[in-house]
Parts: sequence; C-alpha cells; structure tokens
Amino acid sequence: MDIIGWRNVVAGALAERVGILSDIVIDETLEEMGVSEEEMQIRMLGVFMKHLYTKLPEEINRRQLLFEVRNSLMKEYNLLLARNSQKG
Amino acid sequence: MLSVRSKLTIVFSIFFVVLIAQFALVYYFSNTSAALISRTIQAHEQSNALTRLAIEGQKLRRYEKEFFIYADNPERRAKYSSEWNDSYGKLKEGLALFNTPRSTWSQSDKEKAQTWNKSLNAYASGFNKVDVAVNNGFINGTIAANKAIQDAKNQFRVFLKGTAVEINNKVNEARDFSSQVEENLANIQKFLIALSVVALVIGGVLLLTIPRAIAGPISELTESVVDISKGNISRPITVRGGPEVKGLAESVERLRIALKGLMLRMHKLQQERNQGQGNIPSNKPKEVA
Repeated sequence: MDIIGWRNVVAGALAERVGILSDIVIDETLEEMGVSEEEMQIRMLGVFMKHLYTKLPEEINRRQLLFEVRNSLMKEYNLLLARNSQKG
Repeated sequence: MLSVRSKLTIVFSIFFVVLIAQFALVYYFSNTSAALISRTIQAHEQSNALTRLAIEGQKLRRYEKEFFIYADNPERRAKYSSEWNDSYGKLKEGLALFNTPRSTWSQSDKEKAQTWNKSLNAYASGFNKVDVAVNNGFINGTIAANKAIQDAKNQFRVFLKGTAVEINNKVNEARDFSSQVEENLANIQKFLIALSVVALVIGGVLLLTIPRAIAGPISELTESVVDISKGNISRPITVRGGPEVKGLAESVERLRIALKGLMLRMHKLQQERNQGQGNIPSNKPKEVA
C-alpha cells in the first residue's frame, strides 16, 4: 500500500528535534535501504525506522523521536500503520 | 515558569492595585473629613449664634436691673426701658432665624428655640406689666418692682439656662467633629505609610528578581550562541527561563544539532574523498570530534 506524502510527515516530525537535518537523514536512510521515496510502502516503514535510528544524532533521545514520528504517521494514516509496521 | 509578559503583568498589576488602594483610601478619608469639617464649622457657627443670644439675654437682665435701680428716676428708667426693648427685639430676631428656609438648625434645636421663645415672651409680658405699673405709680421703689417681676424672671431662666447648656453642647459637638477629622488624618497617614512600605518591599523584591529572571536566561543563551558562532557546537544548550526564552533556546539547540550533523557528514564525505584520492590529511573540526 502506497503512502502518499509520508516524507513530509516524517520530515515534519524529525524537524522538531533536528531541524534542517531531517531531509538529509531521510535521504540517507532511503539510500541505505536502497529504495526511493515513491517506492516506500506501509510495510517498509518498520525497517525504515530501524535504519533511521542509526542516522539520527546520538545526543538526542532517538527512541522518543522515533516514537513521535511513528505517532505522526499513525495519526496521518490511521491505525493500519501500527499493524503493518510491526510486521515490517 | 512564568513568561516575561506574565511577570511584568503581575508586577504592574500589583502596583496598580496599590495605587488604586491609595486613591480609594485618600478619596474616602478626604470626603469623610470634608463632611466633618463642614459640620465642625456649622457647630461653631451655631454656638456663636447661641452665644450672641445668651449675651443679649444677659443684657436684658442687666437693663431690667438698671430699670429697677432707677425706678424712682423717670429719665434713667425710660433709657433702660428703651435699651431693654432693643435687646428684646434682637433676641426675637435671633430666635426667628431658627425657622428661616436656609436654617441649618436641627428639629430638636428648633423645638428648644420655641421653648426659649415662650420663656422670653413670658418674661417680656411680665416686664412690660411692671414697666407700665412703675410708670403709672402703681409700684414704687426697687424692691417692690423686683418682687413684681420675680415670676417672669423665673420663667426667663429657661432661656438663660437653655442657651448656656446648648452653647456647651455645640462646642462639644464641634470638638468631637474636629477629633474625628484628626483621627481621619491620622488614619490616612497610617494607611499611606503602610501602603508605601508594602509598595517599597514589593518593588525592592521585584527589582532584585525580575531583571535577573529576564536578563539571566537571555545572557546565558547569548553566551551559547556566541560559542556556536565561534565553532563550539558540541556543548548542548541548557534551557532556563520563561517560555519566550525557552522557545528561542530550543530553536537554537535544534540549529546546533543540525549544524553538528551536517559537519559530521561533511567530515565523513571529506574522509571518503581523501581515501579515494590518497592520503591527504583531513581538516576535521575540533568541536565535532
């Protein structure tokens, strides 16, 4: 299932803590996963989060930030994401 | 933590309340004092009017005595009879003032004046009878004349005693009002001193705390920003102070984290490039390490 506009949601949540670094971190994560922005699907978000964790600065509370990103995505795309991302 | 705006609002509200309280107290006490002062003046004026009546009453008695002393001397008798009538006329005028439209006398005073008027009338009637009798030779000599007027004289005592007592009452009333004015002034002084002390204490405490509370976090944040601008991006910005400064500090911290992340990536890219090209030394920033 495609998730249109997911990048804006994730970048918005990340920007709350890392500002302009958010887009760079997303690009690096996608590059590491070997997928493009358009190819991203709900089932892949779990893996995306794991890769994203390693790209975030260590001095911030990365778990908390990922939790916030996850909440933003859940709010945007309803609870389907929670189930699918757990599978991913 | 309160915002700068809230702190300033509280400070100015406290001073506003103190000012309002001062204004209200001064207004209340000055109004009360003004009313008391006008009542004091009124009591003094009434006591003066009563004193004039009492003096005129005593004059009446003196002329009556002189009249009887010279009962056998028609000329002197006529002179004192005339003087007596003048004073009597003044007394009647004075008593009539109790019932004028602009009169400031109370109902109780007016009732007393009526009693005095009756007493004066009775005395006048008695004196006139004796005067006619003396003039017509029915009464001869001072002792006989004195005896003849005794009843009328006794009735006039109501006037003399009444005015004397009332003068004292009015003087005491004026004194009481003056004391209340003095008390009011003392109260104003006490309240103003108390409010000034409260304002000074609050002002002093705020003077010591507010500027520090506002300027402290801003100068700390300025120091952190100066550090970042000089390249020291590893020290996290500790946030202290009100919401305005906190919001600004959070934004600067976000910029610092982003800047640090960008520099790390630049450094990584540089290293990768160096490795590709050979062993060219890197210029890794000290702060990032």
